[in-house]
Amino acid sequence: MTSFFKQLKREMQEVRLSERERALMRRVLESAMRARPPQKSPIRVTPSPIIFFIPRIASALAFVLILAIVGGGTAYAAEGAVPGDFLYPIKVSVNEKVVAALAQSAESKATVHARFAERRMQEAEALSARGTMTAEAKVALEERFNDHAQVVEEAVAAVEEENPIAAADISARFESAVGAHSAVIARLSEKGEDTESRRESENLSRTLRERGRRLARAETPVAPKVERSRALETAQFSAEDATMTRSAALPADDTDAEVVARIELTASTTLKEAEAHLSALRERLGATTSARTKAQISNIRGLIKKLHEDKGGSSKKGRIERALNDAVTVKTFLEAQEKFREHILLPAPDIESNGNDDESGDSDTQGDEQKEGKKGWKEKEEGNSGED
Amino acid sequence: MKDIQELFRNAFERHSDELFRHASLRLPDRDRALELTQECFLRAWQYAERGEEIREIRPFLFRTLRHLIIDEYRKAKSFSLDEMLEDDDGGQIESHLPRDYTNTLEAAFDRFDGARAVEAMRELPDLYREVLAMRYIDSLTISEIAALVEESENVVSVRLHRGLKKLRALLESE
Repeated sequence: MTSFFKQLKREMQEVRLSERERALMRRVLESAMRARPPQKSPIRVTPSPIIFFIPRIASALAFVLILAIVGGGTAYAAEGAVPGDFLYPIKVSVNEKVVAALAQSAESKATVHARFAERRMQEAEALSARGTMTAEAKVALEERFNDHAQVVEEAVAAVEEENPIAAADISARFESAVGAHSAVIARLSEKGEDTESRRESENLSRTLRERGRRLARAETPVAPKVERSRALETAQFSAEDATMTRSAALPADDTDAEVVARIELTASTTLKEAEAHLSALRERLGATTSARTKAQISNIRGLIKKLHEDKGGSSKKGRIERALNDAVTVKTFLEAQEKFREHILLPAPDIESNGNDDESGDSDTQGDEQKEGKKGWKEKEEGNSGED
Repeated sequence: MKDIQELFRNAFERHSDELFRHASLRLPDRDRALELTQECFLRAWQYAERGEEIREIRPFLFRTLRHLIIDEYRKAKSFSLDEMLEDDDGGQIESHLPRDYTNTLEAAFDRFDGARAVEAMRELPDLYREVLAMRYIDSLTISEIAALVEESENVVSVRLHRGLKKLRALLESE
């Protein structure tokens, strides 16, 4: 190697972990090694530690805090807990509290609480899958979910003032997630043997679906301190005309275009994540299901591309939101399928972008799947017109 | 279990610095590099704990880190995937060059200051930076790099070559 490269390498050797950073990392690794996942049932909810989710906040500080408060493996192991588990209180009352305390800006509050709300829905999925959703668990999850959703709505209203694009993105993601998880819970509880669990899960799924639709229809979210007359105007407007979509009342056209661009980016990223899950699942899924899901993903991509190419059109925002909705649904179903191996969840229902490939069908199973997809579509339509 | 834990502890002590070094060269943010390095080890642990076999820990860690970096680029708002990728035709032209052309090119760098080159490295498109870092800083062989980035050795050589040319251009323009 020439001396240039030797110098370069030597220079780079300066870049390394500080003693403190190294010690911290060592401790996190140690606590992960000590942790044992909850042994309760064959269904394992893979912990994705909330700590990795803190958007850009001093995560080193957060680690130190959590480890100091709870002590190592416990905090980490708690991440996989669901209601009824011994460590569940640590997950919600300690881990999440610490993370929430670190979220200072309205934007991080919105993001963090949206994530918490999603965790409640994922826990509900786990309970539905196991058939252990009791009335108490359902009520508890619903209440916590509502609390978080409330914070999301209020925080988004605050973000909207300074950064309407980020606000629109967070809102769109949240709505999509709520709808998607609601559908997963419904699917998981379908063939349940425990009557109570099935009933409670179905109820929860319905409540969530309602919430998702309300979010989508609302103009600006209901915020107690909204003073701007524009917001008041549009809030009244939406109360009178429930079919009013969000797109219509946003101010300038450039903001709209930027919002569409941002949501498009989110949708594309979501599709890539979905594809990653699909590859991971490929061996386990049948060829038909795999192909069907792949087609769903391509269709959504196709729609996004078409939207991109269309010039003008005031309905772009609505269309990209629907595309995001579909993308999030597919991804959420794939995530759930990875976790709950004994259930058959795919292909995801209610994907609007199914387009023309519903027409062709080679086998009976594909025919059944198509019927299910079409039925889901009908339900959605009827539901929409029914609610005013 | 005990053995695996010991193995991991050793792997951490031995490789954490170089993984962090690699991550911080490729990411704009030291904090993010820290997080990804940590995530890399955690994932490796989860993988081993599931009972999966890890034959050689160092390439495994580098591969895991690489995937995390790719995901990071996908998520980032200010970078686009285009910045990371560049027009890479697999080097139709360069594949006909004699082997030691790269050596000659390497030698041409001697008139530059290696210490200042770190800054220039950060300005390269990530596609080239990746292989240059792996070759000259992580000291991986061409075949190791090829296995990591999942391309042929030929593509790797070409990418290195183009990366060097770009690097030289950057240093010359200072």
